[in-house]
Amino acid sequence: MTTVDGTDAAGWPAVRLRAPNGTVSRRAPRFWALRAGLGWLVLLLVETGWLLSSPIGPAQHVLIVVTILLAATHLSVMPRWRFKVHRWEVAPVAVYTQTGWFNQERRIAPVARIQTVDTQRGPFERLFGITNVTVTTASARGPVRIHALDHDVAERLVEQLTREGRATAGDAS
Amino acid sequence: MTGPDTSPAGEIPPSDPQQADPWQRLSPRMLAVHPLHEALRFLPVVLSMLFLGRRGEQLWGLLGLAFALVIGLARWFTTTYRVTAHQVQLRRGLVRREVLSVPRDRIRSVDVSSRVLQRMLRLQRLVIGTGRSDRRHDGMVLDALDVEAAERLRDELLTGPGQTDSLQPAAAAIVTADKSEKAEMRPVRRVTPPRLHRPDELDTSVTHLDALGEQLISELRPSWIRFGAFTLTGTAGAGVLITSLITFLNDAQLGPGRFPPLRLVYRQVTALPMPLAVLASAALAVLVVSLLSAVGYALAFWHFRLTRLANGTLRLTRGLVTKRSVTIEGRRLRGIEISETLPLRLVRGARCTAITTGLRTGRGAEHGSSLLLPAAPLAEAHRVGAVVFGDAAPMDCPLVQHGEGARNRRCTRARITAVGVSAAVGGAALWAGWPAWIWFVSLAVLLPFAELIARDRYRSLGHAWVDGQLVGQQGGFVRRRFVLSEEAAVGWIFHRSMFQRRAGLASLTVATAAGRQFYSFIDLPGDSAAALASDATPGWLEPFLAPASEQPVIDCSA
Repeated sequence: MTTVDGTDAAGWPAVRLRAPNGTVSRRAPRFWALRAGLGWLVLLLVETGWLLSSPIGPAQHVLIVVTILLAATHLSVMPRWRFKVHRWEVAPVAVYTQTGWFNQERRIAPVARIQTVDTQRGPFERLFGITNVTVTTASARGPVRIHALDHDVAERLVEQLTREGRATAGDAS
Repeated sequence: MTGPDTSPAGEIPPSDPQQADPWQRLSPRMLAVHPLHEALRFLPVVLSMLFLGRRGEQLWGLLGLAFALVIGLARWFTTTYRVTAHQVQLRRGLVRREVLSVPRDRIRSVDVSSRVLQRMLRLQRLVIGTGRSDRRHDGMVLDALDVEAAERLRDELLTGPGQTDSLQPAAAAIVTADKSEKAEMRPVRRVTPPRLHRPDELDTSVTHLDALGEQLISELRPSWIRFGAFTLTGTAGAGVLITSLITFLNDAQLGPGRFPPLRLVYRQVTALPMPLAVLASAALAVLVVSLLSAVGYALAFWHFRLTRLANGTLRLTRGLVTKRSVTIEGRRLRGIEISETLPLRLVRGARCTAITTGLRTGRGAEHGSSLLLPAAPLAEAHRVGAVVFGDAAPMDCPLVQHGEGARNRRCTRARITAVGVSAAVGGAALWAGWPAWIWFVSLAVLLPFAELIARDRYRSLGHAWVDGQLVGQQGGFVRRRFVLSEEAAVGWIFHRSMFQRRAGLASLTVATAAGRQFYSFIDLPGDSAAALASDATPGWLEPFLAPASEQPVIDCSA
């Protein structure tokens, strides 16, 4: 009655997850760039303020130049990279997302086990017509977050998930 | 937790149909105990006021004591409870009246405990756990009832409407467990004290008693106390003991020279050369800790008994001085965890824990995982796990190892840690002006040690998919094996760090509503993470699988 599948990696059937199909909103890269840019701006202002109030030496100028270079690199690379990496897909049975640059994470949450579907929109998100969707399950480790969807896409998604989630009975735990 | 159908409520005869569930009081005998407990709680304050305070403050101290006593007495007059067909209600409070109501199908646990004084007066404290998180003190507390009333109430609540459905496989598996030769169970007679029934409630209690066919799963054997010595639970106690001893000796102006046996020990130790003295005191510390651990084990787990009622509810009773009884509802059981700490592994001991749905925060049975078996022989842990879960195979089946990549990662981590620690030692040596060879010695000692740990951790690492159960094991200092039924899964998380991607590995985490909320299989090779997940829950992954001929999934699609 004991069946231990396979003996080593080679013994496993070839089962591979592909990346999710859907990309996030086209406007998302600009949104991320703006948000990150604001952060860099604050840092630069602080550094400039320090330079003007108590100039110590050339190190401060170097610091500012380095900050500007870092910010430029970050702002040019990050949004495009993140747009490629953050993906999502919804099938009738499950929600599937992928996030992460260096530490890649793929999450699957079955529709039958969904507890709540929430949307969040901050002031900046509203400016860009972007919505974040969070799908929670009964597990504290379960939530699946889909960032930066177009507003109407998110609305349709929420509507679809809540409809299908309601169709399944039980307490989903 | 939607209430399963509450329709069979008619099966439970209300305790008295004529009076329509009267409000009941706590045992009047609690009046003798409770004020004392309240007073004990205030004792440090009161004592310090009496002996250290000035004249006016002494009066306040006495007033406070009297106040505590009055509060304790008032509890009896203000607290009433009743059990109806659908819910349990509790009224309490002197100034602020409260009525708590719990639907009976939401009751997750009924725990009974009694402290020393309460035991002498045959009283029991009953806690009804509801799984609510918004209340600081979980659920309803009835402190305290007569032993008979408490037991009757507990039995009644546990056989209530919510508990009758057999949604849970383990409940159905009681029958199958008998077939397994490892899982032997003896039916036992309930050892209940002679009951002094009030005539109007006699009927219900008898029928419920009949309904509860209690089966013994495991019982403490005195020889298990030796495992207690290896649990290290006495570490905190030893710390307290030693510090208070030192404080006492200091306060009493007793140098080690005053006390003959201590003087002897002191002389012996100081006569030894430095390394030997360190070793000797370490050995002494280990001895004290394991002795205290064994004593603590005996105190906590004496009279340990794990039984199962006919409806699948597990009941655990334990305790030498303070008796505790914990119930775990069968339908909340999702899995079993068997953990072996390093010291316990030396004597082939293990603990067994139930993985149940419930709250993440909280204590006792409401905690996501609750103890089924204290430190005991490994074989016994396997047996208890098998009987409770209804499946013996996953408890000790051989596991699939994770291969070369996983082994390399264990080794790399251990080596990096060893080098880091010896670098710190070297830095300290440099700073303190110790000889430089200390650095080499620490490296020479730590590296082989790290290698051993890495190999052990790799050997512990493994997974299996057995009879519809997910089995995973990992860890060296604490080796844990979890057995999780497939329906416990509420999501999957595939994780690849940059290093894992380069080594062709992936970690798989199963998200669940039970126990720790997530259980991980770390560093699975190649595609086996996806294969394992799709074996356990075939439908979920299917839409997202690549055709077999496609390029490997490792592409970061960037």
